[in-house]
Amino acid sequence: MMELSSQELFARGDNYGFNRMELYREKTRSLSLRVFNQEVDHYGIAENQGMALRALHGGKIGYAYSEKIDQASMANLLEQVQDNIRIISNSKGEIFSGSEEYQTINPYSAQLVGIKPEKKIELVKRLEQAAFNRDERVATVNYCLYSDLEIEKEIKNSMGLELNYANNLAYLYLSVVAKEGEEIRTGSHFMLTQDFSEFDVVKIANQAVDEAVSLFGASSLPSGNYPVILRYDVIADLLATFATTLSAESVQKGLSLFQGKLDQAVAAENVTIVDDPFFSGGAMTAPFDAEGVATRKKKVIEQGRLTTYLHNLKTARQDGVESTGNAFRGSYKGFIDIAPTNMYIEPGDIAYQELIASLERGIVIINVQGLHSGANPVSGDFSLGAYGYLVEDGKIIRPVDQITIAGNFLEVLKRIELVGDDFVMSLPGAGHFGAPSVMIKKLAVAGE
Amino acid sequence: MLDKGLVEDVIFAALASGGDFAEVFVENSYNNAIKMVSGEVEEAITGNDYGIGIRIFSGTNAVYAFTNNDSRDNLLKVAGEAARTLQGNFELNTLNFITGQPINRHPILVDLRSKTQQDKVELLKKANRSAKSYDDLISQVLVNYLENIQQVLIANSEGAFVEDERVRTRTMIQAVASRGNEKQTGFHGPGAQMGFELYDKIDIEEYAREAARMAVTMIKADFAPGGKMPVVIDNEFGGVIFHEACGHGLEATSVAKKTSIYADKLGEQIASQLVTAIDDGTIPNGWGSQNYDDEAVPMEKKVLIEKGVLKSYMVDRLNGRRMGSNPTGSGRRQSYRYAPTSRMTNTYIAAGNSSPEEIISATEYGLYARCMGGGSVNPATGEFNFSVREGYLIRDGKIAEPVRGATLIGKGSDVLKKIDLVGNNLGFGEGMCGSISGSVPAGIGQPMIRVSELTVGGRKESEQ
Repeated sequence: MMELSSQELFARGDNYGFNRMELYREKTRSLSLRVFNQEVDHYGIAENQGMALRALHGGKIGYAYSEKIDQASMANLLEQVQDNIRIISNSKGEIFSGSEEYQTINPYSAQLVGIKPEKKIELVKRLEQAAFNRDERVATVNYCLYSDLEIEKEIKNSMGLELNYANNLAYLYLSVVAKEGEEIRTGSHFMLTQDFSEFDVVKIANQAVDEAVSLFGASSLPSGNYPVILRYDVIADLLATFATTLSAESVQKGLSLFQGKLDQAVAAENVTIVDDPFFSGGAMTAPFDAEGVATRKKKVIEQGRLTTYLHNLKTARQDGVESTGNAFRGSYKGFIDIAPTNMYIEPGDIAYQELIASLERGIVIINVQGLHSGANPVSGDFSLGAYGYLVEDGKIIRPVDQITIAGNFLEVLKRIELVGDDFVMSLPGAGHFGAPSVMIKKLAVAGE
Repeated sequence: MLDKGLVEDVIFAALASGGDFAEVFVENSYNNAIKMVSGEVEEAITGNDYGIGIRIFSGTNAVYAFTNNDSRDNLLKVAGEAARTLQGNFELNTLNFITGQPINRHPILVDLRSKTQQDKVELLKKANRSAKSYDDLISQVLVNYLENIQQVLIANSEGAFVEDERVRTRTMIQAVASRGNEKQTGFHGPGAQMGFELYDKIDIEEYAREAARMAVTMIKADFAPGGKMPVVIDNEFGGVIFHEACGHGLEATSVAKKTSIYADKLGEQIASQLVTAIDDGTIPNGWGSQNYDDEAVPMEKKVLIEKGVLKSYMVDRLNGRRMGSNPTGSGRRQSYRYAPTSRMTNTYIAAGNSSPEEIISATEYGLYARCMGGGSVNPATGEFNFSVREGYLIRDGKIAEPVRGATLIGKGSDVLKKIDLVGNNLGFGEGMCGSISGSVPAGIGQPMIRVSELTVGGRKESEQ
């Protein structure tokens, strides 16, 4: 493929009267494979690259992108950027000249790249087999997959800034369907790593299968308020859903539940939430953000107190603060937005079993559904389908399903009584979130 | 888009190690998005997606590879790499592409690119003003404008060679109402497979007012009660209940592997006799319509359920092989980055005989879901959840006070059997549906229906 020269593009951009220009390039390579009944049922190889131009004119920023890299595309990029600059209202746009210092990190694992495809296939087949071996009630392994992804990002601008880094990760994911009579239950588990030798197929299979079979005989509960343990993945999912409103942009637009809460207590004292762009093995680990600003680690909520919003250059300028290095762009196809990097609730020191033992009568929630629709990130309200276990006298006595949990995220944070030590990072999505299990004094549960 | 001879060579290269089916999918897409916040254009991005996906089958084993680099050398290299991951003993001797009369059911009258960005901004300003001026409680209006022109070339080793263009535009309006520290949102997002003429056919200001009305109604609403009760779900996007609770379970993606509760149930009564459900990719200019699916199969109209009896699944080529069924024009994908799989197009419950007034007045107490939000489902168990964007209680056969924060949960198989009234006011809404082949436009529809009993998740103690 022809390499587009940034110098040539910037030189042509000068003729359009653009004051500053930035070319962002992204390249990804990935492999994904699924096994079904010991056969490779999907094998995917992907190579993807694209570029985006941002240009500044009279303080206004226009965007354009292309996956076709040729002379005609270069002309289109410049024209489209110009058309878009014309309709932009805000004239306080900025293209960044660079931070003084960038953290030296190497989120790229060379070891991962050398693994042969045959080894990966063999691993996934063993995972499927381990699931069937664990329990004879496993009727189907509906998803058994491996994926690895490598991403390279580069920013070059017309002021001479040149930045780049590469990151890679691999994961295994298993989802099983277990059957007892006519009753069907599902369970899933995953593992994410940069070190191929860490994959433990038996552990993943056991967790997924044990969870599915533990749900046989589940039924609903009378509606009411219950003390609740939100398992590590459930509280991490809630955090992922509501952390979007830690963005200063949401706050400035009046669309954040954290509005007006800076330096105030927004969570219980035992809650500290960290945004860590240097987290080892984090999917969002990077030395610079989408605007080229150096990233940094910070406690966003420290012992319950909200210490900062997440900023990019635009919101930082409006609030008269420095960018926190949280400018985010989903890909070259997207706008620059704000997002957490690797964000997690710091673990406490209470074992999961002790959390359960602390409940006289309560519920452990191990899964919630409908976060994309049943949770309102602006108000913090949520009402979600859920399942888990009923606890009486400190012991799990039966599985529970067909219930919903409802409340407000800030109330949940404030009512966190105990913080577990069972910290896990979830599968990355539009960010990478983690948490330990937590115990909440009171949550509304609707059932029978 | 890509030379026929090269496409042919790529297909032969893909079958070099004995695969028995190969497909080339070339996509060139134009995308344009404008984001307006409180009447100000905040961002605008225009761009071009371009890539080639190559898929090979050997029996029911499949490999998929994609790249943006369309040079002959690279495409042959990628096809060869993909081929090496499969083994078979099929040999393709000759390939003659069949180019029939192309289907074109979705006329485009006004090219989206013939309008300037400023024309589009004027449209968004109208929507913004209309929502903002609806009520003093409206504190914020967000309007997102989207357009997409997707040109595709799909060819395969069975001789299919199809070129098609899909044109879609959508305007998404979100109104925020604030009172004290509280905020509630209302939303409308009209769209179609149409050019800019869409905005002559619909009244964008009316949609904006509706979004504002919803937000204002909800900010004044108390929390919904929780518990089991009859639920009346209104038409249009209310069809998301069928889409989630049943539609996904009828996709060959889960039927072929028997992970769906509807596998092996053709001919069985799976729903109340009042339920006839249809998936129709041929609706002219419909949001989820296309001339061809993404496997070069013409889209069709299928009766999925007739008077409660399961009649048909939605089948793609690969899962069709697993099930011994023909594809049904259901193979869809977000882009060349995804291998296609069976997906819904425009899916709806057909109109019944009851008027909406009759349904409400026949309900002594229950929840009226005037507007549904999104939802999701576990296809293996059929357990689903939906959020209710705009809800009311029904008391003594009349729509009473609005309630917020309600969620509907249940099992698809139960709900289908508990539909005891079906209205005569069939209507459609637009959604984006996510699954393993990415996010695709899905038309969603139904008339008003009543479910005799559903679990409503709410924060207030039940009243009954």
